[in-house]
Amino acid sequence: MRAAAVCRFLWVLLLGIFMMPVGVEAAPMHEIVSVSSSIVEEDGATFLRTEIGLSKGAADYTVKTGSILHPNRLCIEIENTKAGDVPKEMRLDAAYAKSARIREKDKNIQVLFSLAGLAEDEGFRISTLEADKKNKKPFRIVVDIYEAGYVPRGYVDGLKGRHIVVDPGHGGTDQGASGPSGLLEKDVTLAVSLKLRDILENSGAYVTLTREDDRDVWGPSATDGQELQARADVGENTPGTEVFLSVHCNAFSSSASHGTETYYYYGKSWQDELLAQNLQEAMLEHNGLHDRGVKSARFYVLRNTSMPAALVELAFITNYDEEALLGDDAFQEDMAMSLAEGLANYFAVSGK
Amino acid sequence: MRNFVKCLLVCMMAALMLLTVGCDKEQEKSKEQPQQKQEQQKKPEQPQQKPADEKVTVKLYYPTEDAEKLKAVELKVPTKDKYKASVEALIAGTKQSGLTGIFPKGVKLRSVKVKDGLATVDFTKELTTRFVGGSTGEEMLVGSLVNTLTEFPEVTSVLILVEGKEIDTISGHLDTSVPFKRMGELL
Repeated sequence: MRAAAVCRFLWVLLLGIFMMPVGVEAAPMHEIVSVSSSIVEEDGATFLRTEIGLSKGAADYTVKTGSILHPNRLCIEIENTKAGDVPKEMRLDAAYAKSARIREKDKNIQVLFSLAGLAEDEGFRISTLEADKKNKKPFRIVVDIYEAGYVPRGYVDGLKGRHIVVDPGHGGTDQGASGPSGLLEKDVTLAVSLKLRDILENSGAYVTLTREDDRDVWGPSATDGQELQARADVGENTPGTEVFLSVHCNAFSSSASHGTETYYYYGKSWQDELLAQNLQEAMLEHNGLHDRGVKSARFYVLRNTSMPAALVELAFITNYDEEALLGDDAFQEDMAMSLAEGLANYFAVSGK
Repeated sequence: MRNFVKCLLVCMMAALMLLTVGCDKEQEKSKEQPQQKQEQQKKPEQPQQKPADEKVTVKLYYPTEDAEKLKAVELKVPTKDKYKASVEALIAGTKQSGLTGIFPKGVKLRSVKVKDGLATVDFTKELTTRFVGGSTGEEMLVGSLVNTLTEFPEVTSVLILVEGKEIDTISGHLDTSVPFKRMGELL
């Protein structure tokens, strides 16, 4: 009998434990404590920035677009949040977005932007800013809205976290080849490489350039070998370098030669050829020039780097038509974009 | 008296004519001399059984104008200095339509030596200082030289020197610090 009583007591105890109200005290609710909008200019782009301040640090949020009824609507739904003492409706700069509205939905808050154009991924950018106690600013969700029809500076998928060294060919005392109208190879390679760096960094890659301005990498008094080795060394000495890409313009004694080609060094690894192939394909897709193919050659910077490496020859600076292209800003930008895509394609297929 | 003066004048004129003729002959001789000397200098170097004018047909490789390939042009050169004549013909370029020269203006051949399968070709500094051409230009220059010389069965590789010294590169692309083997992919 005594045992039965103990059993019954334990049973009740267990039931009690299971039936205890759990989860009533959920995570504390966030509160929107500030909303501010301003026009911002950054990296040559102008956009409308709206900062939504939250009382209790980072909150989960989802971004919704593509409503059939409201194709211009950008909705940011912040979970477990209530609206504090902030305006529920704001008029914004109509060039970017007509208005922003805050509404409660269950336990969440929806911030609805009515954009000037269709709400498409490339038209806005959402990020967060940590609380800044010094300037008395709370944790913020930052919504950047570009003008309708704005095409953002390149973003290429598949490059995040990659380590790439870009070598703008020649420079400083070595002007490289020159075109019939006087265009210098060293200027073209630098312009394309700087644009490529922007795209790669924008896409989340880590980029190191062998030179960022018009200079010799080793120094003006270097021998040719020292200068080329200095470039290869940037690849060798930058931790984690996965690819070394040297950017050049081609040249020949006859102006008849034209087209695009890519070189790799046959003595290294199968990735070198794969890299060259992907770069060549992407360049041709963009520039539509004559395909001179992927070639193996004993090039100094390719032979003296240990990671997969390729040397691209964008086009012939000694050909009248191609010199004009190489000097054109839009063409340079397009070639930079193609190289970024070629790199992304290489990473996708190399399996590394 | 009159006759004597006449005679003297005629004699003087004759002497003058003889003198000037002599001068001319001397000048002609001095012009001819260096050539004779060169020929005399060369003669001992060559095997005596081969006549000085014996010729051999060589294949010279020049790039196409679009720099896609190298094409062979045949030329008869003196057997005794076939290497030198071949390289100098590459430097000079070609008039064959569709083909072009790639060696820079002003470059001269200093020497070609062949030993144990290796041809060592020494150029003047213009090879690098006046070179026009990027990756493709370098490839075509090296390819035309290497493929032309390796047509000779006794040559298997080619090392390029400038002013007697090894070079790392011609204009920043190909690594020229070690000898090149035949570049069949350009043919």
